[in-house]
Amino acid sequence: METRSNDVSNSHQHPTPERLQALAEQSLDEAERVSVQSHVASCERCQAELEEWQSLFTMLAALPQQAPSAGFAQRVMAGVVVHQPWPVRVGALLRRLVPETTAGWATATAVLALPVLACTGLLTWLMSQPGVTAQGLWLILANGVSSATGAAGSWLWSQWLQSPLAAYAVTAFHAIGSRSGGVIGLSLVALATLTAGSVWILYENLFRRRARRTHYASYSF
Amino acid sequence: MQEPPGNHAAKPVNYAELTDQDVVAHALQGRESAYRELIGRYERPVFSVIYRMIRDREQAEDLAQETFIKVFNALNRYDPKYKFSSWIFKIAHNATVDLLRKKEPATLSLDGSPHARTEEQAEASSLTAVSHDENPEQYTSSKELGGEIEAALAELRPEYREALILWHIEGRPYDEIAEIMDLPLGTVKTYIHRGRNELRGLLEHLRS
Repeated sequence: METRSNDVSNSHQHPTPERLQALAEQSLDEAERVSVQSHVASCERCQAELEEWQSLFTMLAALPQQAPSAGFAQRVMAGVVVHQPWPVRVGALLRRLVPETTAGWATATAVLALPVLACTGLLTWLMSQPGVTAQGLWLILANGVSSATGAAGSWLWSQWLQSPLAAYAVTAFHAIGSRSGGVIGLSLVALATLTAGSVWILYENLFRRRARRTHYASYSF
Repeated sequence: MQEPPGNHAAKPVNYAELTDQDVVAHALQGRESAYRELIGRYERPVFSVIYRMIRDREQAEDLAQETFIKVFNALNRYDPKYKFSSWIFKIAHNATVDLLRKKEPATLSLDGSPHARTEEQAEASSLTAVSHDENPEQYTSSKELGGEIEAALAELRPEYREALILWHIEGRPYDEIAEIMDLPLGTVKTYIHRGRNELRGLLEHLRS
């Protein structure tokens, strides 16, 4: 009686269908291939079965790949967020921060000028009070920052106070205190004018854009 | 979408010489052309597998599209130690399995989408079983043969069908099929072996 076996060293035993399929798909190792092939060469039944598998595999391999309809790539890309490495993202963010329009520049100027104006005004008012000195203000500021930022801030602040830059800052405070009210007043007026101008241009561009379209070009700094 | 500004946008890349991993690296630098190259390489294989599994062109296109979008939007999580093809086929496999679980078996048809309302729609959505670069007689006979094989494939259990499609039509190695289908290698070999046996039985009438 004929039997099937994985071991085909005995040429009377037919290789299993798995072995024949493996031979047809050429996935047997060399020793097995030689062994199975030598059996198949002398066995009509296995030859016919091998041919059948080979024929089936050829038919399957001949089935064509199917293509999606035209515009597939566009439809995919419409749903994709193209990845950007972080230097590109940071660059893009920085580019976005630089104003491109008159309104943008006006906003940036107003945003930067307003706190400067407020601080200068506050400082001037404080200095004009009786008994307030630049040295005293400096100490109040130093203590405030020190207590607000805790131990680390305190250490950093003490380092800063010992630095030559702090000495220059104190000198600058003294200089401001010794200036006449006229110079400080003029500086304040200049800053206030700059701020008011920025706010006005911003208002013109944001809220009266349609009506004043032709005036844009003359607003640039 | 356009290429982002920068030096690399000006230099065209010859993607034909690059591996999938290299193309992915270019895509991660923000090159849209690299994404399109990956679509070019995988749109047919991915769509073919999904289409042969679910037999509905419209739904297959939606799933293939969903697969690419999912892969591309997670590209920064791709580990180049693994094959890109395994990853994209695995995502396509998961999407297909999810759909097949919801879909009733009766909708599997060779004759076009079950949602088709006109003959034109049915024709447009039917599965083409042969390539068109043949003479009319060859075309007719191979279309019939191809149709028989496609019909027999459609009758197999989905797991056998998918394993056979990936091995015989898409030419994926066993270990990759195991990875895609999330099965042990031995199980994949068993599925392929059983699938072939069943397929041979279903095509018995062609033997004469």
